[in-house]
Amino acid sequence: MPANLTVHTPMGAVQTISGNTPLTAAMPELAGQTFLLGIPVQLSTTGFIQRWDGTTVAAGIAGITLQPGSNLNINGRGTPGWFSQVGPPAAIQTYGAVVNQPPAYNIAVGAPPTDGRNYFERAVSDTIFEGQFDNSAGSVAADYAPTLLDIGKEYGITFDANGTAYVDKAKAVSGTSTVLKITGINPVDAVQDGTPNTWIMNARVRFVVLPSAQQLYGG
Amino acid sequence: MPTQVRGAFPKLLAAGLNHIYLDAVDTEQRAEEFSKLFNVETSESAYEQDAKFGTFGPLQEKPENTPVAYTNMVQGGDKRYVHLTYGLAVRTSRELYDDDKYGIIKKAPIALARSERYTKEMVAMNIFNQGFTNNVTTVDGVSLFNAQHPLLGGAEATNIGPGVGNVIYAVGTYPNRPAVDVDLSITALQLATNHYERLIDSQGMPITIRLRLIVIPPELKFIAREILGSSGKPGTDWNDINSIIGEDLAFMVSHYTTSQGAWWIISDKQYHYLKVYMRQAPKSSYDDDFDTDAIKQKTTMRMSAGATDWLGTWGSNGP
Repeated sequence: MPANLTVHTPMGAVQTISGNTPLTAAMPELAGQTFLLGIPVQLSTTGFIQRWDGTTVAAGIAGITLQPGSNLNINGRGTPGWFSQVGPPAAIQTYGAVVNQPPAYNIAVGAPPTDGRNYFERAVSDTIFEGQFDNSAGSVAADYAPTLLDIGKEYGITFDANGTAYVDKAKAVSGTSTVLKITGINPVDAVQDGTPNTWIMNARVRFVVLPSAQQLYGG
Repeated sequence: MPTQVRGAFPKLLAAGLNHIYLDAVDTEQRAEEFSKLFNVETSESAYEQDAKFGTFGPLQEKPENTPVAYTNMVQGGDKRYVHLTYGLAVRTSRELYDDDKYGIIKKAPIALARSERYTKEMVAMNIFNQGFTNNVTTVDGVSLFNAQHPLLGGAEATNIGPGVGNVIYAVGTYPNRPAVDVDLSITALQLATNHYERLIDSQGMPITIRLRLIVIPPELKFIAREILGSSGKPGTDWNDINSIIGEDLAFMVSHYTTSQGAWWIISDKQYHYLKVYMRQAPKSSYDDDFDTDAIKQKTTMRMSAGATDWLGTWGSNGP
């Protein structure tokens, strides 16, 4: 009984309750992170941003990342210090070696820059995120489509095999597996036959991260 | 976000104060310094990238009727400048903004401009302050001020350079810092001068770059004045001339140095590679908050600083 999809649309902020810009943060990234954009991230035990472990529901989610992991070879490599500069090397990818200068870098023109930090939209109660609805224990079509009854309910988040994340209807035990509360369903994802209040399978749902799951602001 | 409200500034609400002393108005900020030290350029990209290429060594003897030898240029490393954004804002209640009898609150843009000028100076000067560490590296991958900058030409380069062995600390490298950091003195200046008199390109052929400007923290001003201004050999009662005068050096006090002992010498700007990129010049803007009528004033800028190459610079971190 797997999820309906094997890859899901990136999660991201779509609204705020206050009407302000979603609160964004930039924090040094843990080495070796290859996560995709639009997935939950958390602070590691050493204070660097890493992919959410998928199981820590109490104060486990720092936010939803706005960019992929940079696969840094050193934690936070390139993060500027006090009135300081980005880098070295200031780019994600370097190649080869420089003749007689082992510490030097070759950076292909156009190689993506990195400042050693990951930018993410913070999991705060003001920010409403959106992500695809799915069900890791689903078996019939109805298991995968959100309904009006899902609004206001708490669910969890699960990563699929491709590293993207979805709102998982199967995780519904409050305090044990839930990290979010559904606040609405994307109206564009309603069925096309005009039937009101009926959404397609894997429609995008809107949610807030539960205060208890917010790593930086919850509690 | 914090907001300035009348309760925090009751003195501004009633007439009667003779003079209100405001940092940003009543004290004069120092004149801009970084632009005297750095090549200031503009940018229209997320980052700027420099690369170095080494050329050729000297000609080789070609015995009669033997083929000429071939060589290659050498591709060096890259230096990337990623621009960072700096900003600061202040939010003031409409009531305080209107009721301020002295116009102090309305001077926020002046104060923000002061913050912006300091930030520019500090971002730039930290290339010097942090140039002894790997926070600031050049195309060769080592710190800007280093006793052993690896040369693209390697050991052959320092072998080719006439007399280079007298001033280097390791084969295949060239210094722009003493092996052991030294205080500012005439002997230290002579050492720096020697390094630049023997200066070679990446393949070992002599090049000419003259060091011109000694950059010092305020604590070294009097020593610098004595060294450069004395007619006789500084610090001695001998009758020797002050030989350093002939080097035509000048000094500049930088008020954004963090060390009291570190000091540097740089060439004229066209001969060094110290750069400041202004991606976005400082920009001030303000707006009203619709719901509260509060005034929001903001200054932002985007810039980066660094050194593409160590040539034209020399530094000693104290000790």
